[in-house]
Amino acid sequence: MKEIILKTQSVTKHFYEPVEFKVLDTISFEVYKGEFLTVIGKSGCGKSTLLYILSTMDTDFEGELFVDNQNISRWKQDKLAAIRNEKIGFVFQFHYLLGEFSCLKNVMIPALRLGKLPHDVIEEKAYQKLELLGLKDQALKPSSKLSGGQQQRVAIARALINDPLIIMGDEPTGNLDSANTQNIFSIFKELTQEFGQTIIAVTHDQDFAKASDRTIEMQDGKIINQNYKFN
Amino acid sequence: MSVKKQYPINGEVAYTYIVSNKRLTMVAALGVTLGIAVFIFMNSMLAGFDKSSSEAFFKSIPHIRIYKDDEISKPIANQSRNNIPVIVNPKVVPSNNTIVNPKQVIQLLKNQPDVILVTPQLSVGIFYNNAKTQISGRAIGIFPEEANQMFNMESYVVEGNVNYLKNNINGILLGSGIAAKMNVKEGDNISITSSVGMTKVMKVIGIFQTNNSVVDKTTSYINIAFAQQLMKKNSSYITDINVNIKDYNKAKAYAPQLAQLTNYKAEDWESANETYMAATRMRAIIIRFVSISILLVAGFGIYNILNMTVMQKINDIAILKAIGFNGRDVIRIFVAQALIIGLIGIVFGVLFASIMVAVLQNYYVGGDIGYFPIYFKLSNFLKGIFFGFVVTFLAGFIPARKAANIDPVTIFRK
Repeated sequence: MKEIILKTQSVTKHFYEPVEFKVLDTISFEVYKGEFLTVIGKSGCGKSTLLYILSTMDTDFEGELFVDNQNISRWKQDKLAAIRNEKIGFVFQFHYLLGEFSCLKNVMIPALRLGKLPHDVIEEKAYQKLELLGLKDQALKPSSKLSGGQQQRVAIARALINDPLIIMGDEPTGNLDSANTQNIFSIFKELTQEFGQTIIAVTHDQDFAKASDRTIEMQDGKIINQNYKFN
Repeated sequence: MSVKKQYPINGEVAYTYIVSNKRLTMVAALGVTLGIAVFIFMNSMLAGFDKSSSEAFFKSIPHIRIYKDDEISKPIANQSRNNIPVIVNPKVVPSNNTIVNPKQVIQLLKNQPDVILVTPQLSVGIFYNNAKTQISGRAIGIFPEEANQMFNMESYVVEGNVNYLKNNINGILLGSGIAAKMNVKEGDNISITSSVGMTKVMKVIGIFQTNNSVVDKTTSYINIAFAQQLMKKNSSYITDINVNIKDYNKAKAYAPQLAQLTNYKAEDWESANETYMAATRMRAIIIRFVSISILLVAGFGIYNILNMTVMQKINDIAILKAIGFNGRDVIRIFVAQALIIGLIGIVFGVLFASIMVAVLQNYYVGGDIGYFPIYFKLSNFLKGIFFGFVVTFLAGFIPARKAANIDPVTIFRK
């Protein structure tokens, strides 16, 4: 029996600017604990928008969203922030680090906000995550001084720091070369298989998607295939 | 760091923003500094003006003057029964203006809790005899010690000493203008004639100068007993009782109580000098408006700068929210940043204002003003500090609250 970690029920979203446009149309699907799920689809099919809704960062939608068996569709901002802090790690398409802080601090901040561990333990853990992503020697540099690929890897380290239930990535390997992509992929695999964490990643990378547990295909705001088969 | 105690991550983020944008921090703090400094400075000036003009004022008049007012006779009948017109012609009741049993009244006044000084005085119309011409003027009979305490007469006696009056029953302290006209100096004798025709030779024991030429050219001070003699009256003949109270600003409220207590007219200094008070009030309003305008302008400037820092960091706010900071955290971060900037600005503002006040305090303007009338008043500084904190708090809070309540994605999409 597979445990459901995230579920949507007819999630629909409209954009009103510049003209009304249905960007997501009754999206319903389930994600299981420990699953490595990828979402593919053409540019503009709504996959990033869907991911933002799943990550609770966008509350302007219709339908129901369940995370860890709780219906959070109409939760207040502050409660959602707490969910994001503890249960969801997010990797953006364009890294999005705090430029005035060191890489190490960037990785530490979500854990410091959570406040469950003492400062030195968090620091130790942040070093481990950076080492995992091959960035230990860059730890004390200001994050704005790093290359795009390095910043993206710092962002992944940050998403991992609180050992979240779900890690979401919007093109998490978009800025990375093949060696680093391979590394991230194996990290993700290990997290799902050994630690039961769930990965949901939006990607254009066919090879990346192919190697995941399951792939959802989207088109024009709809899911057209819950279990896409690569030929 | 213990596990239970929440690591002050909000504070650390605020601190990092302040340190990594030193120039912006300094500009914002400078805005606060100037606003606070000018605000405190203007208010110190206002306080100085008020204090110096009141001090000048109380050199010749008491906080409250008690005297017997003229009474108007009351008609026996106001209207007739048969609509026959009644002609009435009220007149001043022919009684003298003395206070009955002044010693008892004085004692009564002295027993009041807020009263600090009570002294009687008697004004006598006189002529200063100078060969064939007579200069009209006024001799004020006083108890020298008490009057000196009340009016700080020492401060404007330029020759001789007010205390010599005590030992010379026929001593006279002359105004500088009259002394010049009479061509006398300390130690000389002059002759005066009272309005009731009594002529006396007086010994000049001192000369005073108030810089109010009307006073200096007409007025002199003598012993109250001698004034009574000049009026051909006994020692209980007193027309005025001067009263000083603890806080002269309360005179207006306190005077009616004394009037009721003594059954005489009690006139507070403000009512006695309406024109002067109107001018003072006007000056206070002008300065207050100027200082509030400065505060508004400075406050708006501070607001703008801090608003800019929040808007610059809007992307960071979205990231912070994305990784789990809630609206309150965001507000705390930016309010903390604003308050640190405010604190820096206020410290320098207070310092700057203190320097300006200290410099001006030592600036000699001359005349009877002497040094520029400005002084350190704690309440002005506290007001400045308070306003500074309120403005910086709002300047951080308002834009941060706006940013705190939107979905992070709304910011990312822009």
